[in-house]
Amino acid sequence: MSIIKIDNLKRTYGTKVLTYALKGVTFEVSGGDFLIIMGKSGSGKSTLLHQLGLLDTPTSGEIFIKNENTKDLSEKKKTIFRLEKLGYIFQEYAILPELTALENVYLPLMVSSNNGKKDFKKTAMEMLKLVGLEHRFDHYSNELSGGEQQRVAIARALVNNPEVLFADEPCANLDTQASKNILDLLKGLNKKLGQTIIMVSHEPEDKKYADRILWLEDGLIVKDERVK
Amino acid sequence: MDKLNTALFLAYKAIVRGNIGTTILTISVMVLAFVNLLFLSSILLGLVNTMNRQGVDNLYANIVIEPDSEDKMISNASRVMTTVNGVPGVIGSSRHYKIGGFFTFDRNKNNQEVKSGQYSVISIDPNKEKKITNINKSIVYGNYLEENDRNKIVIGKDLAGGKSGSFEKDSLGGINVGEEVTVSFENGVTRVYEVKGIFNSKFVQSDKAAFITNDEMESILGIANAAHEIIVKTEDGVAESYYLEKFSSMGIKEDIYPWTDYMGMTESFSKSFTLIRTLLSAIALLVAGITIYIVIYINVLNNKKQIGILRAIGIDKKIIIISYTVQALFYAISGIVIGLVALNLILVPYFQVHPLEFPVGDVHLEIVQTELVLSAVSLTIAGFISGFLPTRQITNKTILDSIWG
Ligand SMILES: Nc1ncnc2c1ncn2[C@@H]1O[C@H](COP(=O)(O)OP(=O)(O)OP(=O)(O)O)[C@@H](O)[C@H]1O
Ligand SMILES: [Mg+2]
Repeated sequence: MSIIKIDNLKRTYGTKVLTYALKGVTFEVSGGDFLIIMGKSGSGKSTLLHQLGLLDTPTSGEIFIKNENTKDLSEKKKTIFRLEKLGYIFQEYAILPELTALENVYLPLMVSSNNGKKDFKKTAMEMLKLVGLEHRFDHYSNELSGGEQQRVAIARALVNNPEVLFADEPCANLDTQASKNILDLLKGLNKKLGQTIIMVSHEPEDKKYADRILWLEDGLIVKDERVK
Repeated sequence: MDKLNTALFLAYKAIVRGNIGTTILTISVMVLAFVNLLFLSSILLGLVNTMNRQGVDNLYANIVIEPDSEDKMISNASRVMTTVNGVPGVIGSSRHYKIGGFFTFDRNKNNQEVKSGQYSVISIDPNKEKKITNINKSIVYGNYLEENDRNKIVIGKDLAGGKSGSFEKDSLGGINVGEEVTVSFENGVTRVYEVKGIFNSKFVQSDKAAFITNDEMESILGIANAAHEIIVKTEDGVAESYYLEKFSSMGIKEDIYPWTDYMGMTESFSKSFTLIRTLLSAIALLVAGITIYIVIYINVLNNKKQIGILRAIGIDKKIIIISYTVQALFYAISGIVIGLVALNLILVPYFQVHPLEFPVGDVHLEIVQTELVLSAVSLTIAGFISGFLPTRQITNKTILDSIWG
């Protein structure tokens, strides 16, 4: 079953000098897939992920998430969508420095309507355990390593049970070992929980984690590769 | 409710985890803005009030009774005083003669170094006067007059001269207690007096006067039981106008004036000061508002990326705006509270102990409650706007602009 479907998606930047970052991209993603978007620098990978994560508005084309056309969503609805249906991990460790690891993770639960008023601290703790940070609940970002911060970001992205988890080069700032740990973690989530993941990478080595690879070049899909 | 809780939670964490130096600096700016809003204005008010109080305490008491326009003097002064003193609320009254005199002081009695000048001489009943004015409390050298003093005179420090210097040119150049001064009165009588005391009321208008007893004055004028004016002291809290009517209704035919009628100069001062105070406050408020806006704006700008991240993970704009507005309000209100404490526990007591010395008397900081409330409210509003506007502006940008832009 397709969770995301995009149709002839275009994104053009600028007013006088136009940059065609996405020139008409069409594809579908099935639930449970681990999809990696690969391509050279400047090929439009981040731009594509921003559109899918509802962080930006495409110039034209459509994005369906669970059969809902996101074009029709109000700003408010989009916010709720980001909160409850999508998880987003940035390349930089985008955790809030004024909050502890635990607080960073339960923040989305505080405002979510589907938290069912359950004990959000407990849920957040479970999430942090899942990413292997049970000993770092009360640490602030300046007391965490890059890899640990990225795990907090992953826990935060997962805490509302999103339909899709987006990750834009989550390991770009990490060393090989930390990168491997993060990717293993993501793969585990994908395998054990059936979490749909769409990740951007330009590391050829990451291919082994993917179920499917989309190759982007100059704003267009040039190859759609199913791995095994 | 979830939204408000979340906003308050974020604001709380931002304040608690924020850079202590920045927090102190921000609050200090608020404190200064608040104190600045009240300080000059309070000094100007203190100045006006001092002028008024000095007029009442040293020259006019609360009510002045003068001969009606036909007469030169109040005749049968004791009748007027008995009537007036019988009115409830009247603390007492005293009668004065006032006459100009030309003072000559020849220090070495050899015509070498003669100082002279025209001053007004006021006569009093020394004991009755004590209840009405403060001259007896202002004696700085020598002594106050006694009932049966005849060839004794008490003079103001600006008349005596020599000691403080501000009106030195017109003074007697530093006459001392025990020395003799010759006074030629307007009616042709000339007498020699020993300076019994020198007073300093710090009020320029009274510090140029001289006092003798009524008995002495009556012998100069060849008159009895009369007065150029009777001044009446009343208890606080009742408007002078009440007594004006009361006195008239009790058959006092003389002209009756409240002390305010004699303070024309202060009144015009006071009017200009009100204008100046309003202007100063308006400017101070503007400066405070802009300062607060800039300080908060920089704070919000520094957190642009965080605001973008909050929005990216699905935190409602409203929560973000409330959170930053609450932070701005926290800074503003902390500034107001600390400013209040500084004013009431440091500045006001300081000026109580070290008043500003003006030629009209000692000036303290006088804060009007309504102005205080007004300043607090306007700063709170400035804080609110400073938190709200920049945050709304930043949350209206696209998410990616906030994070990367
Ligand atoms: N805000 C923007 N304004 C103008 N041009 C932009 C903007 N963002 C991206 N672009 C352009 O769009 C194109 C695609 O950029 P994008 O960031 O999607 O590349 P990418 O594949 O993620 O590259 P990298 O691997 O370096 O992250 C580039 O040519 C880039 O210069
Ligand atoms: Mg990129």
